[in-house]
Amino acid sequence: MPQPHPNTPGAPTSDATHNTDASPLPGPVLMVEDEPLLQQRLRGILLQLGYDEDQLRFAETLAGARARLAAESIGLLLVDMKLPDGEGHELIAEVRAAGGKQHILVVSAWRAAETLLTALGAGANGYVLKERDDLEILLSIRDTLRGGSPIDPFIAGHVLAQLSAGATAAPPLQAEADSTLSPREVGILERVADGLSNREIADHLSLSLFTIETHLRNIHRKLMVSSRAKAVQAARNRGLLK
Amino acid sequence: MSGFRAVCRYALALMCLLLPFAAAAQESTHTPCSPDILSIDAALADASAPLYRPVDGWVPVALPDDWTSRWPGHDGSVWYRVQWQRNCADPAAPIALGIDGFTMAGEVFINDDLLWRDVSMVEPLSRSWNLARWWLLPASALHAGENTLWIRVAGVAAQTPGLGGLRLGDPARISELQSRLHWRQYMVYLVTAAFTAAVGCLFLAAWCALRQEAAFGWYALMSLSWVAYLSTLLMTSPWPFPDTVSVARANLVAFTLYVLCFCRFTWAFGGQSWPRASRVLSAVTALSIPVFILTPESHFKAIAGGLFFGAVLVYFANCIQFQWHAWRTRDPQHILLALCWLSFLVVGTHDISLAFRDGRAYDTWAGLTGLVSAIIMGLLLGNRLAGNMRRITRFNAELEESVADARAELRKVIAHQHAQELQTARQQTRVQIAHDLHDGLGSNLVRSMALIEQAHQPLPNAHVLSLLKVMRDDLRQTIDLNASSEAAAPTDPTRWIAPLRHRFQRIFNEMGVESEWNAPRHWCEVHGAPGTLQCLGLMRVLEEALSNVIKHSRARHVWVTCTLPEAGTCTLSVRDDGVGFDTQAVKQAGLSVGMRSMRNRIQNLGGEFTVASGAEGTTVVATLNWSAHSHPSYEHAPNP
Repeated sequence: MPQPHPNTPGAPTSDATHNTDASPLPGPVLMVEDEPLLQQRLRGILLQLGYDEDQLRFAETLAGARARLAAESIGLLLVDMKLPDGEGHELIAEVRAAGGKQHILVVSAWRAAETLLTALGAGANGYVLKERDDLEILLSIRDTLRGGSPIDPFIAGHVLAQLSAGATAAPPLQAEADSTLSPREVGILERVADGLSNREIADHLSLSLFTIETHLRNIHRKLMVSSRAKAVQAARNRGLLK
Repeated sequence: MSGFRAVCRYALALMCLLLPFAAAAQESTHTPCSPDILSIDAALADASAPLYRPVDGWVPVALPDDWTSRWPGHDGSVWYRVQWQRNCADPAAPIALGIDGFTMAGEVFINDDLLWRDVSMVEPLSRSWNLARWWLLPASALHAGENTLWIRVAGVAAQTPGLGGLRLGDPARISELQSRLHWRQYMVYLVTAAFTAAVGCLFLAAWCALRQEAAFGWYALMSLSWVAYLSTLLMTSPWPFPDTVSVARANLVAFTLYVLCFCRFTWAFGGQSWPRASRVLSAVTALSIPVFILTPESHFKAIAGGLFFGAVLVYFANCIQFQWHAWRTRDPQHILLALCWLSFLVVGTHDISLAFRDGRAYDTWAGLTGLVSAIIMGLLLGNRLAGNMRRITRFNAELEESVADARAELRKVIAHQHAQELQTARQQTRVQIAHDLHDGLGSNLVRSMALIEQAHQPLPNAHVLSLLKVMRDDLRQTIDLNASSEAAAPTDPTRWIAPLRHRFQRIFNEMGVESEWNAPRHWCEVHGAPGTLQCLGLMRVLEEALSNVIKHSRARHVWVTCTLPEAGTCTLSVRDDGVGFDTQAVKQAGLSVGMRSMRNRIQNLGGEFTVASGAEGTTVVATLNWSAHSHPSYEHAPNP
């Protein structure tokens, strides 16, 4: 249903879309999505974001996506989790294992905790639900392109719960010895879990917004270490990596 | 090998060295004498002066001698006179005298010199009847040619009084012979008694531990009565009994008890239950004991002897009966016991015939039977004990097996129950989901259909889309409620609204709207968190109110507040400084679909929902109390 946010008041949104003109958008964009209507919807959002028609690539299967990725270098990857020939996180893991630095956003209908954690563990930069309004999806894509952290209150709560459980039995997102969270990072995570925005956290802790964003990126990197190692191992097993 | 050879050589050398000495020792002995016994006579001692040798009344006798046939009923002393020729080549050669026993006590003179006298020659008499002794005859007391041995024996008529065998000769030969006789007449019984006592005590202990094994108890009693019987034979003085006859009475009592225990043991062991015979036998034994004790001495031999043979007959009958029993059962244990009893039968027959042939009591074989029976009984009862142990072990194994079986069955039953409970729980969950869908999504669907149906003209796309979005959010809430554990148990109000805060704050930031969020850090301690359905309803209100702020208000500032004004009550309020709206106009436009569905939902949960709007902005407040409605029922009639 490609209806560019009909209910949204125009002014703020148009401000948002043209903010990004300063820096060139990374392209081309590959959308891995098997539903034509949703492809159209994403196309509309991307165009609104400032992309040109000739920068958009579509793949309906994992195989098609792999072929596209092999053919040219992709700047932004939008991946659905359920595809006709497999799971989206497999593709993400392969890209990350091959050293790909693309921005990757999962656009999925599924909100089960396991699916979300699996996608982020594989190396996705963000996760947004298809059911959200176009504006929210647009904001998620933009956050991803800016290098924003994919840590939301749900993820933060999950990590904190594992920390308080004593990190006994190798939790999926809990880091190894080289990536233990610092007290400062734990404090930031707690505030994220409480739903505070980055600016609010910065005010709370008397730090700059930039510092908070750096901390969040570090937290994300640390949390990814163990799951990334697993992804590399999986890719090796498939013969994608030597 | 070399070591062994060396030892052999050494032993050979030693023998070569010692042999000459041995030969010399033999040479140093005198040539043995061969004394001839010329005559043996006996005479009654004078009752008033038994110490004086009688002058007349001598009658020739043969040894061993029992004077009851000659002088029936004579209690007291009898003198024996043995005249013998020395017949020695070497006048210095020593001569030894051996006597098999005095019944009961005796004294011996060689010519006129006293050679031996028992401790007591009057009642209570010393008991020398089965003690074989020998003496070296002092050379100074001997005459060159004919010599005379004077022997006085003190006895009682009831106890086959008399003198045992007597021999004269070379000391080496006599000593060897007498010590062999001592072993045969005395030591064998002593060893048997000790052995039987030990075995008896062992089985007594076993029976104390295993009362149901009656055979053990009877065997212990049988052994102990046999020990008592043997003890009367082994006494060297009547103590603790007052006289010789009392010892004889005790001897018979012990034997009778032995026969009783013997029978009872045999029956118990063979599994033969004869209560009447048991009672009769016990009664007869109980009656015969006073008879043994009280019969006057004059009739003692006749009556006691009769009872004694009666007991022996019972004993024999029992031995024979058990042969037949073993033949019938073919039980190996019974057959072994039957063989043992057969040997007892032979021994008994021998001993009884000995008594009839007027033999000496110490020639009986009965003493030996104790050893045989103890060994065989040890085998049999040990085997039975081992059988019990095996049975216990087997029982343990069976018990373990049956316990394992029972456990497996229990596990199966529990698994079945668990499966059933799981099935029920699943069923309940399905019913709950169905209710949720019906109350939330379903009622909105019905309302939207009615709205479209009753519209006079086609509804604008925006309106239809907002209808669909409300239903989409309802569906999302239902899914989250059932699929996400986080939705079910919000830890505290701040964390509870955190996801919405995160989501909407980003949008507000994007739109340049300032937002302020306030929520307590803890739930009320008494009533805890609201139920899942209440959480769901409140979240939907919040989500819808915030969506409306974004869509319609043009606000520059939004205040979101969660408060817990009193125990078990939660209030959510969303206030903005936007343009507000005319509720009537909004109704006309049909844009209040979401808001109205939320109002219905909150009211269904028993809460309050108010909207106030004006020029200074709009305030939406939802209040829910869950202390009174801790379990909102699904039976609530859904508002159409």
